[in-house]
Amino acid sequence: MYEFSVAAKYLRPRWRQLSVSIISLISLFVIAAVVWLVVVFFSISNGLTDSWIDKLVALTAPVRITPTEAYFNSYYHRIDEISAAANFTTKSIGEKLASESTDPYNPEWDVEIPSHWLPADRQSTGQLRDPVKEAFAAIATLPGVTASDYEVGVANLNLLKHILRSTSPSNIVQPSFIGSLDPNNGKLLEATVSVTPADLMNILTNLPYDASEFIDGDMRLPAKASQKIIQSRLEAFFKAVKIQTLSAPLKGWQIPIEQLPANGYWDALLVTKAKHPVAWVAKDRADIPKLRLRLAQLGIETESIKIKLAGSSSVAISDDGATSIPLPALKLNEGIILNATLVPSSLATASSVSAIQFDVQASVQGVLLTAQTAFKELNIEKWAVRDPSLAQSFWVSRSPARVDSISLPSITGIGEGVLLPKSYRESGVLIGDRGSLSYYDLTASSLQEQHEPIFVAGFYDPGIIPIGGKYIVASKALTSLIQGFANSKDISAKNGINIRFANNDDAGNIKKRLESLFDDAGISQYWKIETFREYEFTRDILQQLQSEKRLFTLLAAVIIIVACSNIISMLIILVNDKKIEIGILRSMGASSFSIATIFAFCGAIMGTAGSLIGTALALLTLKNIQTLVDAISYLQGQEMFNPMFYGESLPTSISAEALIFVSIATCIVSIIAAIVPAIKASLLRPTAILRSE
Amino acid sequence: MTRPLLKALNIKKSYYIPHEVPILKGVSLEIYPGDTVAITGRSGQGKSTLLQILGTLEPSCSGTLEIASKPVSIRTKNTIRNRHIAFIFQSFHLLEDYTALENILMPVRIARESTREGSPAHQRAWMLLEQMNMAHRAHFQAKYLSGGEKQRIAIARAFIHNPDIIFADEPSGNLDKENAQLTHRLLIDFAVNQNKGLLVVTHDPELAAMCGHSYEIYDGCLCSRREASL
Repeated sequence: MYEFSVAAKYLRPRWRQLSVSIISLISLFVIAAVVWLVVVFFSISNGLTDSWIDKLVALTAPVRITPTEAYFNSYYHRIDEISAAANFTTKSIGEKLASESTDPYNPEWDVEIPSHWLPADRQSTGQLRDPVKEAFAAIATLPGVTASDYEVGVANLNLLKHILRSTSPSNIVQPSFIGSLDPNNGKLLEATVSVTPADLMNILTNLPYDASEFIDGDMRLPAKASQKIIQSRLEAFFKAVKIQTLSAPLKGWQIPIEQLPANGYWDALLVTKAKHPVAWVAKDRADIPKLRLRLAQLGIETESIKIKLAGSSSVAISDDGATSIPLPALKLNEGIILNATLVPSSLATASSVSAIQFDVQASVQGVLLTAQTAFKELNIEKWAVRDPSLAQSFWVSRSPARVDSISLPSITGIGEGVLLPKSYRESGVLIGDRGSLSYYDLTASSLQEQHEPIFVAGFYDPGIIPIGGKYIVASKALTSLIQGFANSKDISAKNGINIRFANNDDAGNIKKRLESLFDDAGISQYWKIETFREYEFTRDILQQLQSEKRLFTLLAAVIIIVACSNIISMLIILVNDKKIEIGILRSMGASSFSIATIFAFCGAIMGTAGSLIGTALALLTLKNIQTLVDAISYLQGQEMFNPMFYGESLPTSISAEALIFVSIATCIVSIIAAIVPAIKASLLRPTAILRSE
Repeated sequence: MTRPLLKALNIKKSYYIPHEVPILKGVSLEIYPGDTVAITGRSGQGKSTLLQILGTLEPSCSGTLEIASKPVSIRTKNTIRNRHIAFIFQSFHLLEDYTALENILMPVRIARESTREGSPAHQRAWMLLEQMNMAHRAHFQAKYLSGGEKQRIAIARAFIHNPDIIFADEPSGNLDKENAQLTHRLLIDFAVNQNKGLLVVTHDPELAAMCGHSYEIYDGCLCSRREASL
């Protein structure tokens, strides 16, 4: 294939053909830039869509089955209303699944079936068809697919924020959807926000208190539990969690004077003009100038002193060693990290968190400091879960027994744990905060507000679901309780079956198989099967994502064409430059097709090289996307992508589709761009070119 | 009776710029194996045009042309150029970015035959390089060669397929005397020793005198100046 080697020779940059070289470099750069842009954009938008869909599916399910109007009108559903055996109340899907008899009606005891009801849907054997049980049976035949019924209720969330953390606790009231937790939905756990030291602190602070009481609809400060209960809760907590290090808080940590080390010297900064003499101690002597500067910025003047350590009889001397001064209170500077061990005996008598004692240890200016201190004086720095099975009774976590699972805690006397959307955490709510879910109980004579005590057990990232900010996940029992009091007529959106499987892309497939299974079982009229793309509350946003993607594909095609059209001008110049060589090749018998091929190769090489460079750069960019985003955010002085929508780090998933689309499009378009110059070259007459002498 | 290597009958050519300007008014020529033909004439008489028409590079307005017993047509042109004829130009026309060896082998590559080391074409190219005393320049790019060296490479390239006729357009126009004589010798020897044809367009009376046949173009016609009586 000499055409290819000739083409490759032509494209090698040379001083002699500077203009061609410059133009080809520019076209190469433009193509690479366009390919880079397209691949990066598609990968980010793919990543975002994937992560949004993951969150959406985590909160709901990839496929949902909901009862249709026919179900609610059916004899099967309505018969419970008039059956004594069913307690005269209609049943939810979960209850239907658990009930022993399909037809609780007893003609001897119960009232006559109203004539306007639809006739019972019976099988040929005369037995009443059971849509719920048959649906679950049908789903069970699909491998890798699990089903669980869900309920969604509506209640008011009352939340006491900062109840014990601040002097002015604030009360949040928010009407919310309460969705039931599917313990098998391990994906939801992946969407939860991790527990922070502030959460731990909050849990601990709240532990001694029981559930808040409501008096005349007002939430009151909770009452303390009995000493025994407090002790057992604290013990459980410290069995679940191991505090490893503590750190001095912003205001510093005052070292108890009797616990000062017995030997050694410390350099310290004495605060002049202080009412009570105070001196700051830095962890290293080298940090003292920095500490002095920080204090000076706060308007605190200091002077250097030395502390001669001798336990409680330590003395302070002035920097020159001449005069001794009364020993001031010694404060460890903010951020100093101390190794910590719980004093277990302190739990027995602790009635509040402040009473919990820790043995702490740190090397300060080369002198080992060991002390016992109240937990409250210090901040939690590093911690670890000691026992996952105990930790799950404080916050949302995985059931230790099963990998793909999730469980919400429940503490006697405090209430049930619920999962809130992430936005609550951003407004300052922490794990361990207390509150209640309230709903109305419609009795024969009055409307009563009922409160179910709850506490915050975790936060999940709702992604972009419109109802995300108002969707609370609670245990199934709690949801059933609330939903049971809801108006049963409008049950359709609130009860259904979640179908879960590993790969979201299978949703359409599984829907089809379920439909055919339901058809075979004769229950298809009772159920509506939807994939996550069809849910009422996600359809719009997913369609918008889809159409944005199509729009950008179109746009990408246009910019690729524009970028590759550069090749035309570059090749026309090249053809003019190479006229004589074309003539020589022709005189040696090269066909005009060969000549055209040479220039088509030139275009293809440019396009391929450009798209390879662009792809390489794009992969590099995507690998370091976070650094890049941070840098741009820093330059702009504001967050480039709102973490509310995009998550803590920009998700990317390299889209093979986009890569293939871009590389093939670039190659094709650059070959098409090369066609005009190639034809021009092939039409040149050898004589016209060789007649130079 | 031997068949002619080249048989041109009543070749006519006019340019339209914009009026008709006849250049060739019916040229007929036959070249037999061993023939060396020189065409002279003043500038603008159509010497080069005739050479390019006979060499299939330029179509004629009318008349027939046969090379190696094959009528020249669009379909046969490329094969004829590659296999049966070769050109020597005044300005050498080597592919500047290729080495001497690659230049010599280019017609083979165009014919899509192997030019790998050890292949017959490769061996022949080396043989030609040695014959031209150019073996030491084999891997020089053409642009770094002197005029005489370039012309010797061009001749080697013309010989690579052992063509039936070589068309030479002022082959020594850009060369010093020594190189010019060498070039003439190589071309004439090729035709005479190998029983091939040579068609030279030249101003150089010395070269014309070396050729067996000599024609002059005058007023669009080919007039024989001297029929060699060998």
